[in-house]
Amino acid sequence: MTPDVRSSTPVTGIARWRMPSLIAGIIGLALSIAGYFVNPQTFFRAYLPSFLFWFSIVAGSLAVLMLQYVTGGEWGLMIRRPLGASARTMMWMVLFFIPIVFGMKYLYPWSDTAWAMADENVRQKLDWLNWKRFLIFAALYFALWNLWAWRIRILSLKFYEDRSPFTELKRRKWAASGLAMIVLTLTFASIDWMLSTEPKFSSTMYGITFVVGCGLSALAFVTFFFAQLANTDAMRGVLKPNHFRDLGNLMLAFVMFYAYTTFSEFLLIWYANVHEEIPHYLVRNTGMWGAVAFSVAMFHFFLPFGLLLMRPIKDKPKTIAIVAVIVIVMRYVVLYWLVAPSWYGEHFTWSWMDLTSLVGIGGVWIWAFIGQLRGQTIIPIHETWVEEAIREGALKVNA
Amino acid sequence: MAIGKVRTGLYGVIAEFTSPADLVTAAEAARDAGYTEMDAFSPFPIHGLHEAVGMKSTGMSALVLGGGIIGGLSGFFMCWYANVISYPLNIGGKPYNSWPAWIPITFECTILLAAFAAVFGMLALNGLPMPYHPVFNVRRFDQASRDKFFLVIQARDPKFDFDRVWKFLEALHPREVVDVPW
Repeated sequence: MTPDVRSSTPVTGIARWRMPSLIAGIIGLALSIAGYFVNPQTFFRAYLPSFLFWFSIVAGSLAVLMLQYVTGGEWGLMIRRPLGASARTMMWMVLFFIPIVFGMKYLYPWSDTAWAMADENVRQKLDWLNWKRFLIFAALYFALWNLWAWRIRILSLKFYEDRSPFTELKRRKWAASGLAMIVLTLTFASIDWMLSTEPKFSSTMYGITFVVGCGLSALAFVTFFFAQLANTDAMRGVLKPNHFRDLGNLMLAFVMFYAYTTFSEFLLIWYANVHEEIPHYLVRNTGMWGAVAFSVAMFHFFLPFGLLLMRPIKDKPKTIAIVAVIVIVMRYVVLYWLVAPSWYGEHFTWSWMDLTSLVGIGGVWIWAFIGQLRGQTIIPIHETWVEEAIREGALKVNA
Repeated sequence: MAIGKVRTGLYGVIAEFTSPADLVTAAEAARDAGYTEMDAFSPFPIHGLHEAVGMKSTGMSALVLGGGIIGGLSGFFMCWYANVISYPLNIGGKPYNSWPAWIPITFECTILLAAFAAVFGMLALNGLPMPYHPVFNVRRFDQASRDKFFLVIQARDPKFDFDRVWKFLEALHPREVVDVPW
């Protein structure tokens, strides 16, 4: 129980989405499991991109939350609660990671030692690319992420009770060290889980591109979430145009940052034209994959970039929700485009199991997310500066 | 020797207030009374004052966007012209029009011209540099950069009537009301 539960305060009504999303999730997972018996290879190759998509929201939430605790600012005060709730669902991500462990031989070519030994390039990477290290590091990443997500939660609860600036400072120190931790761990996690689907390829920009993508996923998700809340009776008048403008500006920054890192990566590899690296882009630029790459340039960068420059679009919940949805959809597209061509080569493949695993993990995740949010106020009313952030309007609205 | 037109007569009537809230209230009252040609002065930015004095969008964003687009196109054109038309050179077997390589230059030129448009556009739209302004004739106006707040209603306002403006400003509880000569 959090200290700020009030029985008479208005509620947003998001709790009613809890059961439907859980049911959708269970149906999705059940169909995916049925898919496993049809074709285990397709099942695992559909599961990994779907996992990465939802994981990117959770990991991004933790990163943006810690960024907010370090920098402060009105923009983040408003979104702390949903970010925190999303970050604490990391324990569910541990569960969702388990199938990947069992599907390693379908997902990561290096797990076939005979194949790996035959290629000099891959053979030299086997100290890193082996299942023991893969599992130990995955356990380490999840332990660190969960530790920080809950440590920050515990310090926040302590701060609401003692109102001590020392507690706040301690939380800020955890957040600052956590930022260094999460950039490093996400970099290695993206190399382990995504890049190693193509063991011959290597790229120094891969990790930071994934980290920035996680931040973008989380911001787009939270923006969409708040845009939906803005229409509820309880939150009308609390969420103002300037709050959405802040979120829109931040999303714009992440859209640009992602385009910057991903294009830099492409430019350098394209220009160097090295035998080990260039197949990565040759495959992803051929046929349908090329069309997907074009759509990524258009809808992951140019369209949201143009829309987010316009203030009337950022200020209105309805319009910024559309931008957020475009970004969220493109986050999945770009993750699929990064991972799937490693297995399928030039043949574009997208099966029904991709859809079921996406809905399956997502449904259960939304259920867990709302569960973490339940029993709290949407606005963190105990935090310093919160009244300045709201100015007027009801503060106490329960999730 | 004077440069430009030397004006004489009345620029407007100015009122001095002691708090930012008074200034915003006064500006809102003046706007509601139908005055359109007014200006406010304060030592620091005040939230809501822009709207209160009826400031409209200046077109600054369109100017910066235009600068950015011209910068981007000219940056790309410069690279394309140099590598495709003026001095075609085979580099690593790549096509002459290797556009990905032009992107950093295109990007930098976009930023450069957008920044120029922002800085010089801001100066131009503000009418800067402006070595002379009639409000400097007000004895206490240097307080506007310390701790006092001023609202001036200009004589070119279509609703301007000296006595009525004076009385209107007096009624807003200013520290004092003064006329401003050109």
